[in-house]
Amino acid sequence: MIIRNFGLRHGRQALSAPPSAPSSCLRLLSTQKTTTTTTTTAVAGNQEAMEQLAALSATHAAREARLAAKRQQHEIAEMPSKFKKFIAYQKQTEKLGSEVERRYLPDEIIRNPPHDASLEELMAAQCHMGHHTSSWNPANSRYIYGERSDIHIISLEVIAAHLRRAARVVEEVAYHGGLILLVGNRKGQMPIVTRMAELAGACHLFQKWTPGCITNKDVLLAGGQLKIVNERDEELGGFEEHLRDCRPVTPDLVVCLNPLENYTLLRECALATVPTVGIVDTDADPSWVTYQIPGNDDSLRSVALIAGVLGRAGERGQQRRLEDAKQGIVKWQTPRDVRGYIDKANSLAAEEAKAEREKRLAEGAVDESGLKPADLMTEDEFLAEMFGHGAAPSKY
Amino acid sequence: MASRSVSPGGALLRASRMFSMPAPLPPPAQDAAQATFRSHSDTATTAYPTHQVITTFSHARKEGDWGLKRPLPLRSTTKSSTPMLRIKAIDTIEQITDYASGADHGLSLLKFQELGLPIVTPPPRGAEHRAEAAVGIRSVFEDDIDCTDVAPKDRPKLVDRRWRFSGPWLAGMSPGDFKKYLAEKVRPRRHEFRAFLMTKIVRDLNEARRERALNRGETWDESDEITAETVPGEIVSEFLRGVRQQNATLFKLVGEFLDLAPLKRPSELDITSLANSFRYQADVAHDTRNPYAENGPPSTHPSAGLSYIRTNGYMDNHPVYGPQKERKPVEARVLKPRTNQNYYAKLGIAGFVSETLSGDNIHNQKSAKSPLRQFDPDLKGGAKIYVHPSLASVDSAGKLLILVRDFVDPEAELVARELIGDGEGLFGQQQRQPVEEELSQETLRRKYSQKVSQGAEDYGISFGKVDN
Repeated sequence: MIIRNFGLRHGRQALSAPPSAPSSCLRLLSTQKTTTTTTTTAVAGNQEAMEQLAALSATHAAREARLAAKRQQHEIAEMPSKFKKFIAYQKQTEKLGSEVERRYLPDEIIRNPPHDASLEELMAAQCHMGHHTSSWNPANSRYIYGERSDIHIISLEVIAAHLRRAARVVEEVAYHGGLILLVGNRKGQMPIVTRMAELAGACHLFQKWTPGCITNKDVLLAGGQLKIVNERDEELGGFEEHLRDCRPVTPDLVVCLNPLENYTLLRECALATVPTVGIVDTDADPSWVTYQIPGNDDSLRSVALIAGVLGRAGERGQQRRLEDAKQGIVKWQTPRDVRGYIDKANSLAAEEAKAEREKRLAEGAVDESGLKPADLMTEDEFLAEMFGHGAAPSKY
Repeated sequence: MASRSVSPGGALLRASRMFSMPAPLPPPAQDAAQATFRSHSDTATTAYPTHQVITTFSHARKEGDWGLKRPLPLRSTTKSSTPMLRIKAIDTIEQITDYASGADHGLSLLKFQELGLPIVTPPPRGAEHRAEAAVGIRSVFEDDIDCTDVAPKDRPKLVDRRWRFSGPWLAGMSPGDFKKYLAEKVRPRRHEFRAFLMTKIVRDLNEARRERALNRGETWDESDEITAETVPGEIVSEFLRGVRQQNATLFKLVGEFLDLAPLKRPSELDITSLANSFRYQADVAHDTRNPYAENGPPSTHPSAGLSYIRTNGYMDNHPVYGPQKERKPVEARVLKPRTNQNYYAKLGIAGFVSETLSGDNIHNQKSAKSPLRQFDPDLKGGAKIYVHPSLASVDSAGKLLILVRDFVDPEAELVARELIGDGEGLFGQQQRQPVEEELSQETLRRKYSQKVSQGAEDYGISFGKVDN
C-alpha cells in the first residue's frame, strides 16, 4: 500500500461516513419526549419488587414534572426578548414587497378634490367632450379645438385657463367675506354640490331654483333666518331688532354647474348685478354667465372635477380671510344697512346717556365742576406730585 | 416626415382612448341566404365586429362612468356579467349616447383566444375539408408575406409579398361593380396610363440600344438616350399593337398601373375546366406566389388581430399528468348533421361555425353511431362532440374559418373531459364518492348560516357535479 495515496483512498470514505457525534447531539437536543419504558413484568407474589418499582416510577414522574416546569419557566422568561426580536423583524420587513396602488376611485374626486386641475386630469374627467356638432352654439367657437366622432372637442388649455380664472374669482369673493351660492340641479349632482359648499363655506342648491328668489326676495324669502357675525365668524348679539326688520340677503357670487337648466336664476343674477360662474358646454350660451368655464356639463366626473377645484379655491379664500382676521386685517366692509343700524343704535345710546347724565345732574348727584388734574394722573405721578420728585420710590 | 407640432392639450387628446377608437367598419355584406326574408335575423352576431368594444372598471361602472360624454344608464349597464359595449355615437342630436351590448364579439374573441390557434393564410379553395389542406399554408406573420411598409416605387416588385393593394381584386367583383369601376376609376386615368406606357417604352428602348452598343463595343452616354419626345411614333404604335395581343403582358402593365391585387386561377379544377384546359394556358403567366391571389386579399391585416400565435407546434401541460402529446380537444356543438344534400356537418366551435372534414375519418364511418350522421331530437341541449381545431384563417370577406383535424385521441378527450369534471379518470372517480359529512349541530348551523346565493348552482348550472 502506497502511503501517500492513503488519504486519497480512504479519506473519501472517512469523510463521507455519517458523523455519529452530531447526530447523537441532535437527538439529545430534540424536544420530543423519549418514551419511558417501564418494565411491567411483575412476578406474582413478589410484593417487595413491585413496591420498589412503583417508588422508582413515582420518583421518575416527579423528576419529569420538575423538568417540565423548568422548561416552561425558561420559555416564559424568553418571551419578552423573543417578542422584541419579532417586532424588530416585522419592522424590518414591512417595507418589503410591492404596494398595490389604486389609481382611480370614483368618489375620491369628491372627497378630496385637487387644488388645480392638470390637462391630464381634465381629459381623464371627460371635460373635453362637447355636444353633437349639429347642436352647437357658435358663440362657443373660441373654446372648440376641433371635432371628432361627430362631437365638438373643447380645448383643454382653454378649460384649464378659464377654470383657473374662475377659481381665482371664487377665492377672492370668499376672502372678501362674500356669500357664495352653488347651484347644480341635475340628477346625481347633489353630492358634488354639497361637498363643494362644505369646502367653500357656501350655500348650495340641488333642487329647482324658485323663480324670484333674488328679484322678489322680500316676498319669497321673508322670515328667513339671518345672523350677524364678526370678522372671526362669531355670532354677535344685540342685532335682534335689525334682523327682524332687515331685507333678505342676495348672494355675492353664484356658481352654476348647469346653466342650461337655470336660465331664470342667471337672468335674475344679471338683473341684480350678481356675478355668475358657469360650466358652458358647446350647446350653451356663454353670455348667460359672467365667468365661463367651457367644459362638459353632462359627465358627473367632469362636473365633480371642476366643482372640486372651485370648492378648494373657496376653501383657500375662507382660510385666508380667517387668518387675516386673527391679525386684525379685515378686507370687507360692513353692509350699509348694518352700518346704519349700528350708527343709529350708537347715537340712540349716546342720547340716552346724555339724558341720564342731565337727569342725574339735575338731581345733584354728580359733581359737574369738571375733572381735577389729579384725576388724570397715574398712581406714580400722583405720589410724585404729593411727595416731590426726589421722594418717588424707584420701581426697580 | 416631421409631424406638425401640436399644443400639449392637443398631443394629449391625440393619445387619448377616445381618439384611438377606430372608425366603424362597413357592415358585412349579406349573402343570398341571409337576405331572404325567412332567414334574416336582426340579432344574429355579424361575421365580424364593426365597432370597437369597450369596457370599464367595476367601480366606475357602478357610477355609469364609461369615459364618455355622459354617464350611461345604470339599469341597462350594471346588471350584465359581461360588461362590454359598442358605442355607435358619443352624442346625438337627441342628446343621448347611442350604445349597444358588445358582448357577442367580445366573448367570441375570448373564446377563440382560449383555443390558442394560429392564424394562417387561407387554404386553397375547396381544400378546407381536406386534412392535408394544412400542408402548404403558413402563418400570416411570416416575414416574406407580411410586408406592410412598402415604398410606392417598390410596390410592383413586392407584389408577391403584400396583402394590401390600392386596386381591387378583379375576380371578386360583380359585373356591375366592374363596370362602375371602369367608368369611375379607370377611364379618367387614360392619359396617365399613356404616359406610364411611354416611360416603359422609352426605358425598354434605351435598355435595348445600350445593350446593342455595348455588344458592338461602341461608347454610350446619356446624350444618346431617347426621351418621350424623341421616340419614333411607329415604335409606340407597334408596341401598343403588340401589347393588345399579349394578355399576360397587358395584365402585368395594367396591374402595375392600377395596383391590382394579384389573380390566380383556382387550384381545384372541376371536370369541365379540365376538358377545355387550353383556355387556362394563358393564365400561367399570371401565376403568382401571393397566398391571397386565389381567394382575394384580406380587407384588414390577414390575422384580423384575432391571434398573434405563429404556430400550433406547442404542447399543453396538465397539472397532474404533465406535458400532453395532444393539445386539449374542445367540445363542439353539432349545429347541423350531415344530410344527403350537404356532405359536411356543421359544427359550432367557440362561437364560430366550422365544417367537418372529408375523407376517411371517425366522423365519416358509417358503422359508427355518430351524432354527425343523425339528428337526435331527444338529446337535451343538442349533440356535442369533441374536435381538435388545428388552424384558423380569415377570408377576404372577414369571416373566420377554423380548420378541424380529423382525429381526436380518446385519451386526450378523456383528459379534457376530466378537467371540466365530466370524466371517468382520476378526479371523476373521486367525485363519484362524495364524502358524507357528519350531521352534527355544528355542521347544521354552518349549513344554514351560509349566504343565500350559492353562485351558479342557484341557476341550475352545476360544474361537474354528479347528480345522485
